[in-house]
Amino acid sequence: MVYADPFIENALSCGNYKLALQLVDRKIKEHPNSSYYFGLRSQVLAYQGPKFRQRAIKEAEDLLARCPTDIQTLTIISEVFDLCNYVPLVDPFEAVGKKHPNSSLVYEWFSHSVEAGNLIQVQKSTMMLTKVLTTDKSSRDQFSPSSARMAQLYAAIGFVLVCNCCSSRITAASRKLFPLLGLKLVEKAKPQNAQEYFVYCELLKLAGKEEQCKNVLEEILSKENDLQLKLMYLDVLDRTGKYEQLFETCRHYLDNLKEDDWNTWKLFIKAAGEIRKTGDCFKIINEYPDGRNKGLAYLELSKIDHTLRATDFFEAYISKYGSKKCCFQDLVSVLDEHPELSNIDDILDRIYEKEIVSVSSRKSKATEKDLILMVNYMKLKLHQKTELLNDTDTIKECCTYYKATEQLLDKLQQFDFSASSEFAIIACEALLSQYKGTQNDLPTLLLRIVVIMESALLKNPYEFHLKLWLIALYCKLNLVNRAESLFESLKVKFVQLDTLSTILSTRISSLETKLNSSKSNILFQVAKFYSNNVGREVPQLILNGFKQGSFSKIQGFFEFENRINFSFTRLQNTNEQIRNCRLQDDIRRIEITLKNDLKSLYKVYAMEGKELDQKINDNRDRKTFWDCGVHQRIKTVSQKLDMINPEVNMDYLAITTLMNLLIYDYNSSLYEDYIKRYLDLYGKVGDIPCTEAETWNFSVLAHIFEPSEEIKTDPKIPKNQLTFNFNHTIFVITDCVKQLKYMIYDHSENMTTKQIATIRSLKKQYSEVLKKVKKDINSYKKNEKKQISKVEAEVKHWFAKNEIGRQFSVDANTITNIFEEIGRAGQQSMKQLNAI
Amino acid sequence: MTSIVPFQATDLFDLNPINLDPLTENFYIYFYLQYLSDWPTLFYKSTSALDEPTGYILAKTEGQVLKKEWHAHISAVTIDPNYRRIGLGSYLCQMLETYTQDEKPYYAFFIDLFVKCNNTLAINFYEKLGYSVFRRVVGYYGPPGRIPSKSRLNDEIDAFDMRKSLKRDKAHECVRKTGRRYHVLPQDVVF
Repeated sequence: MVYADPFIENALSCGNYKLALQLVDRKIKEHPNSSYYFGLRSQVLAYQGPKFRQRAIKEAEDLLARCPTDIQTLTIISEVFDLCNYVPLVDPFEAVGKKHPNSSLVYEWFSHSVEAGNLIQVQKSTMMLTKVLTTDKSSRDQFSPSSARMAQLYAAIGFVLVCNCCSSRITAASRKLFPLLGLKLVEKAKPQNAQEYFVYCELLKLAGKEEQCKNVLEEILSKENDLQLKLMYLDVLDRTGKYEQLFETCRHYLDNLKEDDWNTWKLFIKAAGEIRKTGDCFKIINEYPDGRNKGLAYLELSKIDHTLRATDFFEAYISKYGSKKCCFQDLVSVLDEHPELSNIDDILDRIYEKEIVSVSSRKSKATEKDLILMVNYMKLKLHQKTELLNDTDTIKECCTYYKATEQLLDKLQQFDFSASSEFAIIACEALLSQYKGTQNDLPTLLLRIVVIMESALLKNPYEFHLKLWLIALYCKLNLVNRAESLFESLKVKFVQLDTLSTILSTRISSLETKLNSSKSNILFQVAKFYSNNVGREVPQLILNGFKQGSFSKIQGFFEFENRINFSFTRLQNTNEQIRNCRLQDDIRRIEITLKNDLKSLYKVYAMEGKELDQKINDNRDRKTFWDCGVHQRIKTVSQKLDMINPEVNMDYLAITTLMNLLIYDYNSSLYEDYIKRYLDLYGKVGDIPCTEAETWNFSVLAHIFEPSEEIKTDPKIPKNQLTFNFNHTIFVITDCVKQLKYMIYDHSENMTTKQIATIRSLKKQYSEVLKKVKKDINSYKKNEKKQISKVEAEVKHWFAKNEIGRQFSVDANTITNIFEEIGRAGQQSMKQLNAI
Repeated sequence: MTSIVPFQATDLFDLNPINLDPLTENFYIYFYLQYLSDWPTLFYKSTSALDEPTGYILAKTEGQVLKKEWHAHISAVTIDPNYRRIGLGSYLCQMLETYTQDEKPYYAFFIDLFVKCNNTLAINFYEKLGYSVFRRVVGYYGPPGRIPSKSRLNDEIDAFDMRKSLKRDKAHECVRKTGRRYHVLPQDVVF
């Protein structure tokens, strides 16, 4: 928020609300007719805490009753209500926009709704815009688009948005009425291009007028080959069971227009089945030029025409496309759906005998095609029987294929990457799957896997799956510095920060290496992306989408806006920043910005809605990590990986958020609700993916608010420094002491004397624990080099002497080099402990 | 299996398998959203059977009809590494011809694109699709602030402006056979 008066702004940012109020009152005397300063007054009151909350709401409501038309005032009033967790009967912009329907104000209402991603308000404001522009002709040229016609189309798409995205929040009557109202508007506007016809057809579909929709689509498609409308048309024909027409239309696109599109093929084959024209369909497939879609069309047709042998087509597909990387992904969905292909062992055996055995036994020199075929063979085999990952022979087989094709890695061109890494990853997955040990012994296995993957990466330096795996492994091994280097090499930016950054930035230990440079760390980059790129760019571009009349993209724009604004990563990043700041005693940043961000995101979380703008959306990309090998998350592997630094989920995020709100938002009217929800979540903490240290930390807070909840045993610092839990546990203990310290000083007014006494006593107790930890750290640090050397020797021994280890043929020099990096990263991790 | 589907803003969440490739540029959000809002039909993706994006192309239209410069410009085309060498890039480019050459809605004279002069792989790829070099833009990819000169050629920073005529350019007036020898500066490339 930018304030008109710098003195008031300063007073507010320093938290000197009394002074701010005095300054605002002075301004009111100077400008008694300015609604802005009256609005500001209610905002300052809202900031002053619970005692002033009712007054703030009343003053804002009184002001709103006077219908201020100043945009800034309306924005302030909205913020006051938000600060006070007060939900007015009518949105401030709506209230004023309806009473003073002039085009500028209504357009501002519309823009404000776009910025907030509030689709219901978008619909209401655009509808009002149509009325304003019809009655107030003088105002039409004030903004672009200047015509009443465009406003009608805005309102029409507004109805589509609400029906498609907020259906649970509108009445059944509205669900019926809105499409009809929208249709009236579009018909008045007379659609002129494909984008406008899109709105028209969406509304016809929503109104259940499928036949009319079909006719309209036929009309426009006869003039213009529009992809979006074509897909809509095929869909309408399919849903209305017009299979004869669907068959002919698909044939037209496939045959006459030569649009070799799988969606069209699928519907073509479906329609053929429905109208018993599989023979004709087969003929058309036969006559079609060669291609992947053709090969797969045979398989699709064989699902409904049992005279065709799926196994023959399957084998033919592999012999044609088996040396293409996409072959496995092409076939996997067919495999899952086709009953005739439930057992392909014979086919795989034939491929092995015919194509693979001579290469794997080195009788013939492997080519790139051989390599890819071997990868596809291995993937298909594991897809059929994932349990093969528990067999040591699988590891040996992967190693054999890797070695037989290793010479190809020397021929890689710059930026190219080889499929051979898949063997390394599958072998590592098998090692994890077969692991039977405890959490304490797991780091040794993870280090062996690091060596396998690092040596694969040396020859295949642009392979990003290997990098993603290594980042995750290094974070588990308390070697975050190396994880950060790899993450930087991926050049992750913009939307990728939302989808990928959590792999590095989850939990305190991940932050250690740059704990003291908050401006450069990943958390800061991610936060900046949301405030700068998302906040500034997205609403403007949505408005641009309206102006350009790109109606088929508007829903996607809003979905994107809400998914990224209320994203899991954003909430997690805010929590991590709070922990980071708390550890560095940067309370001011928490108070000024982070606390408010957390409150806003929590409000969305607390709605627990089904719709995009009423829930925290998990956009994290957990797929690319597993998109190699068998292209699926393997339960036995992910369970082992989760033994250390487990992947977090929504409950984890919720309990962390509530913990921070309990610490910092003690003046909130929702405080009792925070306590209740926190204790409810704590009740199921055993099911939440927390570390031992975190569970203990949560128990400390639970005990403060509900003394019958017992505090868990103090977390133990592991002896092994090469595990995430080492730094993590130390940081969590430190963090807990800082949480208690803050509560002693800032919660004195809202807590009972008994509670404060409990907090004091706990703080004293854990400060002592921390003192002991600090003493021990020095001895750990001294020991660090020795420990790494010992592990290095163990790893070397495994690769040299173990039956499985030997299969990987990793030489001692490579291991030495990898451990040099590990040693450096380990030292960095130890250095970070100086910060506590 | 490949389907061609219009790109939506939410697809940006699913591009990692394509955009983690070091040769693929990750643009600002506004870049993608602007293409979606200004040229909604010229931004589409190829998808796998599981509806996952396997590649995408984004293009725009620009130029004046009177000067016979009204054309489609390919701004980016990229394919998931697992889906390369199966003709998917060609297919995306061919679909662009389908969508831009007809009278409605675009009726462009030609399609063009810029490629670094040293990117032989890409140049061969486009030549196979029927594109030819129209002119060499000297210093097009040079660092900002550096003033290019027509006499200083550098394959690292010079671009070939490659074109392919569409139906509307009946007499092939928009392409030239000796384009490699025709040098211009970045400021000359204005439509």
